[in-house]
Amino acid sequence: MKESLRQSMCLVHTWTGLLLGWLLFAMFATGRAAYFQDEITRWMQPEVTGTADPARSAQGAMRYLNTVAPDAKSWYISLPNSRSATTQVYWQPGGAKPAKRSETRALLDGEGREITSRDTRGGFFLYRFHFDLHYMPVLWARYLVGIAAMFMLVAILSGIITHKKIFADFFMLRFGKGQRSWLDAHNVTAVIALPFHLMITFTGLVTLAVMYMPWGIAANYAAQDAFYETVLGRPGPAEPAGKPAPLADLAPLVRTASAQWGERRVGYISVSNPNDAAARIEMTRAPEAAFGARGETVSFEGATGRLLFSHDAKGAALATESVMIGLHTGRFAEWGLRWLYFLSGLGGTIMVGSGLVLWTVKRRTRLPDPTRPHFGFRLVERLNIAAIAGLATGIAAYFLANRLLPLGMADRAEREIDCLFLAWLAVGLWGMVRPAARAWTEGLALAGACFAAVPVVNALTTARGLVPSLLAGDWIFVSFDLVMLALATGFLLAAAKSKARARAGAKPRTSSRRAVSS
Amino acid sequence: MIHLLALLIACAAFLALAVSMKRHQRDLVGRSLPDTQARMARITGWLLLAVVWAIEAALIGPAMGSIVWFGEASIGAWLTVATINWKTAR
Repeated sequence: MKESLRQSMCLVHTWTGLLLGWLLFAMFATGRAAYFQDEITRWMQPEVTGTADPARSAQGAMRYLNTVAPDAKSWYISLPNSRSATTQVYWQPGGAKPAKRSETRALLDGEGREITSRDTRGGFFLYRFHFDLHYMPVLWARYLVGIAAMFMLVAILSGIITHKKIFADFFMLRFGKGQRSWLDAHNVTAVIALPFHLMITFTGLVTLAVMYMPWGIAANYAAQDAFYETVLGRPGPAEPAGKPAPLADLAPLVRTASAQWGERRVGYISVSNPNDAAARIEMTRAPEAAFGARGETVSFEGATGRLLFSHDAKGAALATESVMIGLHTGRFAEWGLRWLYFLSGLGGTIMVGSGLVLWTVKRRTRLPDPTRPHFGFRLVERLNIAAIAGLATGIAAYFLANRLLPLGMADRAEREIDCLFLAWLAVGLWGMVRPAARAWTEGLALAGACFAAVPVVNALTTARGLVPSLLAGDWIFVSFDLVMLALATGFLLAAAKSKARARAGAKPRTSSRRAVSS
Repeated sequence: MIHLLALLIACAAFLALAVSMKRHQRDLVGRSLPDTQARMARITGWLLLAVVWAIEAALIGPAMGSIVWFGEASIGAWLTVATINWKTAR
């Protein structure tokens, strides 16, 4: 038996694509949503309006932290970027025993008042889910995600070799031809945004490379902190002097730091030993200002506000890493390019989804008895339903829960997330007990209905429905509702298609369809 | 506005590339083209893609311009796929 390279690559492509394909689908779908995480968060906090100025926000955050944690070990302030309006603060309490995470963080408005808006993790949750997953230790999740990304890279490269007529088939998308159509859809989505898929998969691995390959650092540095200190030129936190000294005002320092970087925004502030004579303030440039994700940093003496030094990531390797992470996260992108990123991500999601479906479509014709498929086939089929229709319904449920759960509910943000997974699980289980063809139709229709319900529920529960937002020129809310309606249309069309197919299922495959010239 | 122009040129580029391919000629121009014309279409397509890159590079620099170029090329290709589909469906 002699196998050609192409055949063996086809085998590699099929199995690397399938084995973690469901996880990859979820990573792609939520990662694509993460390009609009700030906008999603704004939609999920309808009480927050307007924009926020970084210097004012920093000063407000300082006022807040001085009242809740004046003697903390450290403060961490994440300033609003040009797309968001809220400030996030975290602190490490001064006491010996660690406090609960939820008690050492707060969300503030541009003036430093704690936000009275509904409790939600917003778009940030979708962003974190795409590499941290949920309900499991972050470390495990990141290894799992890394393995999936590695599989994806192998699948892409073997896919390029498998697809021999990559340029000849560039524009081929034939509808209504069963397996041929699924293959076309898979190829077209893959090939058209191929540079994007390669970039996003490879840079995705790079973002966590130090975690996956720690040995280079381990061989040269006693502790990982020492490595970061050397390459980033950032000294570790100083010991507190024990002498109280009030912290200098942050607003003028934010302006100083901004001026250092040609008026680019400050993104993060960290303060070690606040209100101590040995306090140190460190400001990092916002990632939206340039490609490189590892921004320049400046340090100030805490008590006097004197500029100590500014430092930058050094060396070609670090600069490369910084730019790769920047490319992956797309934080530098303005709205036009952000949409291009989003659409390419949508193409990637369809590529993974169609690949998963293709596995079953291709094998169905070869089954000895199509009415009684073997266990492996049924498993893949059911997992496909759970992954595609289930996740979509889950995300819609997440948005619906944001509007429908009682505002005063305990741990409301966590309950919103639970709604996502409960809906996902429900569709998954439904898909197990129903006949597969019907489960597809019902799952897709449910996803479509849930997405369609989002703008409706938004209009009923807030004053920021589609029409008022349109009149106010509030493009974030308008776009969000329109994207929901577009997704609803897509899923409902898919459900209708799936129903028509199930009805035509008994007849021979081609005769029931319009012949398309090719 | 000029980005919109670049996007339109990217669409034209991929339409030209599609026209240069035998299997799409009948759908797009109603007849098959002689080899010389097909080659002209192919050259035009690549040239137009180069023009889009040049526009973006001049506008926002070669680094950012290249990223936007990839994105616009993808959209152009998608619209070409849609055009071919619409033409064959009739």
